[in-house]
Amino acid sequence: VTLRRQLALAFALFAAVPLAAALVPVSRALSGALGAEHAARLDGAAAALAGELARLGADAESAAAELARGPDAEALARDLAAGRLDPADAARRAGEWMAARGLDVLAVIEPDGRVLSSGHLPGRAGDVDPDLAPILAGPPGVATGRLVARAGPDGVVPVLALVAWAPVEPGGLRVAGGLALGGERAHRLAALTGGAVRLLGPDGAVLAEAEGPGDELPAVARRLLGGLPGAPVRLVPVGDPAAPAATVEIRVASGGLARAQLTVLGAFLAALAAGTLAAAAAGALLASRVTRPVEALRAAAARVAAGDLEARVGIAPAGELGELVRSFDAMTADLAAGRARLAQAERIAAWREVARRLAHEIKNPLTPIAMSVETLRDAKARARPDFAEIFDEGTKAIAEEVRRLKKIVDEFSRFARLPAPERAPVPPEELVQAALALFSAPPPGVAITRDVEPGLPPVLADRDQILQVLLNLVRNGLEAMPAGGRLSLSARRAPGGVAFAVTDAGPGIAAADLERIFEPYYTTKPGGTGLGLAIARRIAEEHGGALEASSRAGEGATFTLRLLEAAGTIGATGSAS
Amino acid sequence: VSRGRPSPRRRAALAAAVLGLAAAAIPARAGVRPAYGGTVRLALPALPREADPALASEGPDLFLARATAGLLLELDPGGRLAPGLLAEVPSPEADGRTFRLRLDPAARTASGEPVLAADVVRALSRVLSRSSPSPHAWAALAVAGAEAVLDGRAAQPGGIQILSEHELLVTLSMPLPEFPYLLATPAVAIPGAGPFVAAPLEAGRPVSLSANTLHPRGRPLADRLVLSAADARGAARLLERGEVDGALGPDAAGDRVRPLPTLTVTVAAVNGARLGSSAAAVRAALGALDRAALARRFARGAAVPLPTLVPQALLSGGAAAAAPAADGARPAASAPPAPPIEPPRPLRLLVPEGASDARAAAERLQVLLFDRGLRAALEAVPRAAFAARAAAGDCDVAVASVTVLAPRPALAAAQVAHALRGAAGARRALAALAGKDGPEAADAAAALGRELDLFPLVASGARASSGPRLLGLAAGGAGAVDPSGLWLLGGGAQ
Repeated sequence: VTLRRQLALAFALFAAVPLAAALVPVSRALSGALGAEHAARLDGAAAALAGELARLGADAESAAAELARGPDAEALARDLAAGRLDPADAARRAGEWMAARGLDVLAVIEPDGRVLSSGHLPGRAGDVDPDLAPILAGPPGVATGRLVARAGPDGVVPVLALVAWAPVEPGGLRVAGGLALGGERAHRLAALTGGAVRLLGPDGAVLAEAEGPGDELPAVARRLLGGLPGAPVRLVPVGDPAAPAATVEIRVASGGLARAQLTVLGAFLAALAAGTLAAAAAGALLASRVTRPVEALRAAAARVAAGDLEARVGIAPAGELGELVRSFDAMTADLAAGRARLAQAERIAAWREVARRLAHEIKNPLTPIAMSVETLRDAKARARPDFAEIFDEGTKAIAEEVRRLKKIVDEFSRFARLPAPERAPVPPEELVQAALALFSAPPPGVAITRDVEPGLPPVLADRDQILQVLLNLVRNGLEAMPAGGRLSLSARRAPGGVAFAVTDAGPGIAAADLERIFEPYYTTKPGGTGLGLAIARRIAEEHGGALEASSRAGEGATFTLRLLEAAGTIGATGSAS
Repeated sequence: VSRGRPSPRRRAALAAAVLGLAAAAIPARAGVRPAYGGTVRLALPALPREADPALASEGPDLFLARATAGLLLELDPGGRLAPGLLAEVPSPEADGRTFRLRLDPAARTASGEPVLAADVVRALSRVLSRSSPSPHAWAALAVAGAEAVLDGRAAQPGGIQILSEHELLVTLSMPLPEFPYLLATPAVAIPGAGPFVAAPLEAGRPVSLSANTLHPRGRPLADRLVLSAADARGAARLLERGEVDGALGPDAAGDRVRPLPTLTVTVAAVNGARLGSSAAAVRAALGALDRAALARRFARGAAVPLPTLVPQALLSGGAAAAAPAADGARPAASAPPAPPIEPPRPLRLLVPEGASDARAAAERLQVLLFDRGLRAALEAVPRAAFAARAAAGDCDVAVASVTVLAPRPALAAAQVAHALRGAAGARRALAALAGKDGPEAADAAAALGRELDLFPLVASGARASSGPRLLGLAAGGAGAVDPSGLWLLGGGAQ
């Protein structure tokens, strides 16, 4: 994790923790306030429900009383008493009256307690209705809650009803009428009170239920809120509170309150998130200002480590970091200057060495020249008879040494004025073939082999200069095997390019000489200038490659020239191969 | 023979009919001669909706069918067969299965078209039609080849052979001495050949009928009949105000009320295979039904307990003694049945729409089942759907009220069995009761009920309420009011 991220995270945490800690007491306070309001609404709904139940009971009482006093019941009683009405005809009356008066339960009871006509359960005619009998045993004109069996689309099912009875005068008939508290009534109660209503039987069984007006939360929100703020209920007994025939449970919809709480909670969470994000952004911004010089310092250090002593941090912050940056830049500048001075010193030392060796090389031929001149002068002074012979030998020697001097000067001149290579892609096969073409007739006893790996990419080379290197290496190898042997020139793929290897079967190179054979004017060959391998290595290095030697005494030597692959030509070369 | 002058045979028949009607309908006014003319206004429980006699099964529709369709044979007030559109009452051939029917050559429809043998074939085939199922397929089931027509494989029964324009040969698939009585039912009557001609039916409008002067038995007494709909109290008010001359229905509508024979039987069918473990409880509940209380408190009109599938009125002599129980109830098991396991669905009690007696009986059964811990729901469906579902067993219990058309036990049982068990049940009824009467028929009917899992409940009849001018509003030989016998005091003169 970077320093910048660590700082940003720390800022975010510092902002989020206090806000989150404040959420709990705020939420509790809100729940308490909303819960109190919800309880007040619930009490109001329960009061409205009790009032509606009382009104329904009063409606049932008045309906039964009006029906008992009305002309229809009177005519029924009179016709029955006079024998003008069949029981089967009378059995239909309750159904007609019940529908006309909007009642849900209506029965006409004979004096002996049997049902003469039942609108809610027509098949009960002739029986004592076990549901109505206890009501008839009570006082008239008082609505009583009771489960009454009623025929409906799903058969005969018990339904909670508020039933009152009234006597029919004369004749002893009784009329019991009531209003059912079924599903439809439950919906009306729910609409009236604004809550969800459930009618529960004495055993707790749900007789009917209705949801309140739509104020419910989506399921996701309900799960999110969990127990907040709860959904308390109120129970309103139907009938005698000591032994109610049923209980009406009302539950006021808590969706609005919960939604309010959800809104506040959501706003709080949004503020928490916004604060945390803002703190994190501020932290990131501040961290970037702090870490930018550090990042630049790190990058500059990496460049210096890679050898780029010209690298500088480039920015100059204030304070301790500024001091650090300036010190780094100063140290780098000092390091670059020191290295330049060291290189200058090395160059001077190298030229001194070259001058010393050149003087040494030039001095060697001068001695024979001087001796020859001295011998000639002495022979002439003595008038030696063999002066002509001596003159001939002396001038030959002088000429030989002068030629040698000229060679030394030419080689040195070449070494000093070696032109810059003009590199171009050259197939390795072509280089090997051109080098060996000059040795089509090798010395006796020497066998030259060629080994080029197929599909080698072209190398980036000045053809003439590289060919000069290879010829030099081959020639050195042949000279190392005066008695004959095997010499091979191979080309193989190497990392980043191609390695050309010249291996001879000569006596090899002593380990002490192996380190110095590439130095100018160092040679182990009689008559050698000591610049051949030095020039070869310089050409190799100016191509971006390398020239190395390996040998064991008595096992020959191997010189390896490594050249870079010509970029972008691999495919073409490969296909050409 | 001129249309305006009845033949001697028709005059004799008319005289016998008039005498019979006079004897049955107006004993208080003996000596008063029936008068022609006038418009008779009748209030029915509902307006007729079906003009096709093959599809008529409810009271108003059957009344319209009797008024507008020509019966092949008539029943005199004594219940004896008499010629109608047929020139004579057919007798079985030597094999007992073949009847030769000879049409009265003078028989005409109201439009003047002669009634031919092809019309009889069409009438017998019509009740077997597969495309528009008739509730009266039982009336032609005994004819050979009836199954092919029912299955849609033939257009007419192979057992009917037209010999000439006025003569045909009917071969039965089983011995059925009662076959001529089938020809006296409106189910196979010839449309358009009745004593009246009806104007096209219009929903909600009273039905107006005018006298058919070409009727083979002579024109009816009244010039016109107007049929309107009214419930019992409405009919009583109309009758009191003189806005109708009479009323027919289950309830009394005035002081001059005459009960008609109790020929509408209410029967329950139990589908034991569908009920499964509840079948025993349902049968026990049906067995425990107090039929006398059912007739008194639930069945409208004049009602009596129904001991067997055949109304008591059709069983002559000693039938009641042969009934399995005093009120027709099957003996209940000595021990009360174990409480059945409440099925996951309520039982379906199927009743036809508009059948008040069947519905009342089903409501009573519903309460008895509820008291036994079984929940049962009533399902009222149109009559055509009821017949199809009852025959297919697509209900737990079916309760139907059937107005018996033919006054013979075998035919009555076949009609009842067909209403609740379909053609197969009707064939078994015909086979079980053919040629039987009296106690023997009662025993066979009781056995048939057990075999078909049918429970006879009550038999009821309508009440005829007459105003001061209307005469002839009484049961004819078939147990129903004969429209042609209605007349007004003073006829069309007042």
